[in-house]
Amino acid sequence: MAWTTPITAVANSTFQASQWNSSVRDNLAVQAPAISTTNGRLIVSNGVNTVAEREIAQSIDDANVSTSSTTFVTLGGGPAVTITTGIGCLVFVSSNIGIATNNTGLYGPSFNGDTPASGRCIMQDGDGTVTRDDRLGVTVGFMTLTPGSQTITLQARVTGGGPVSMQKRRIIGMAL
Amino acid sequence: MAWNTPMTAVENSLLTAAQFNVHLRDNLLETEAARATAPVGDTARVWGGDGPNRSSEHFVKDRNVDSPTETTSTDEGYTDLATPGPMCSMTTASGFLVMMNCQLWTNTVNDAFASYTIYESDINGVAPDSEAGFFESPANTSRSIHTDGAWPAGAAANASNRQGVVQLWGNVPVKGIYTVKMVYKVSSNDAIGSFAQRRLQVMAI
Repeated sequence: MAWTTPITAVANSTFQASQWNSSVRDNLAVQAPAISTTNGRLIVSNGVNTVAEREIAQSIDDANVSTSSTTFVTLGGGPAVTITTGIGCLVFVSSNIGIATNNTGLYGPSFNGDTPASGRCIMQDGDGTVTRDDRLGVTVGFMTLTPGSQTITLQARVTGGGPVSMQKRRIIGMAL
Repeated sequence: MAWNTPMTAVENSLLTAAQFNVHLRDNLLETEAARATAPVGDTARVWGGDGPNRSSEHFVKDRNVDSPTETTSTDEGYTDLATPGPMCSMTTASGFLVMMNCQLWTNTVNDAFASYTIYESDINGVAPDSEAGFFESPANTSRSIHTDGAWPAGAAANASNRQGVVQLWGNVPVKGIYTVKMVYKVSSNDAIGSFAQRRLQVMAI
């Protein structure tokens, strides 16, 4: 079903069934109430004269996990979310992050299995003397996506000898 | 076009052309599906309220200045770095949901701050050239990312972390185009503040 510019009625002309179907029925069928399916979702533009329903998904894992990997790895419990997007998505990441060595810990979202850029990650510098265990958060915007299903998974690495540890890990994906 | 409260039909009365045009055609033309626009670059669009009986597309943008690391020693007030921003410009009738992230640190026990200013502008972030002035909500510390330079004894002075904040700001005086721009300061001009991986996401509300 697609939007059609509704007719302009003219006095004393017959209002045909086909005009009702295209100008009224079909146009009502592409409105937000007609396409809505689930509580808590957004309505977004999805092209000219097209709107779509979008999901906000969250995944939480509170367990304390760690890694000494110098390349990004998924830790036990993820967390990860899978959502259907248009061209955009906002991802909210938060976690405790601590490192006891003179290296840097990074924790951020992998998008459909890619390698997280450093700028997407929460980050904790260690100096080998004091171990901070701050709970940090970042928001990441992806605004040039190919529309469709996207899986976003939190991954971690350290720049040298580790380990880096995380707990109370949270990821939220807002499809746009 | 404006929304009209749909008429209540009465038994045995005709639906006139004028009634169809006002209550069906014009109201359908006010709906989201009728006014959803073509994608514009890297801008997503969410539908939201825009006053009584009116909805509109609300833009969502993401802008980054990932490199290089830049510094400031200004404690007089928030300022641009050598590479300004990042900044996002868009129309709003109410305000913005502002999300910003930054890696920041200082070389002393003093603190570093990354905040944001909001000002009336064109879509490219250029403020009006007006002697009469223009609307601006200056950056302040209550809406900043803040790193405390006083790390525990024994810690490296320039240790840093990357963090973010999310804040709702809703004090637009009149519907128009405004720019949200990240700006920076330190708590003492004895300190050098360093900033990297600067990221800003803004959603008009």
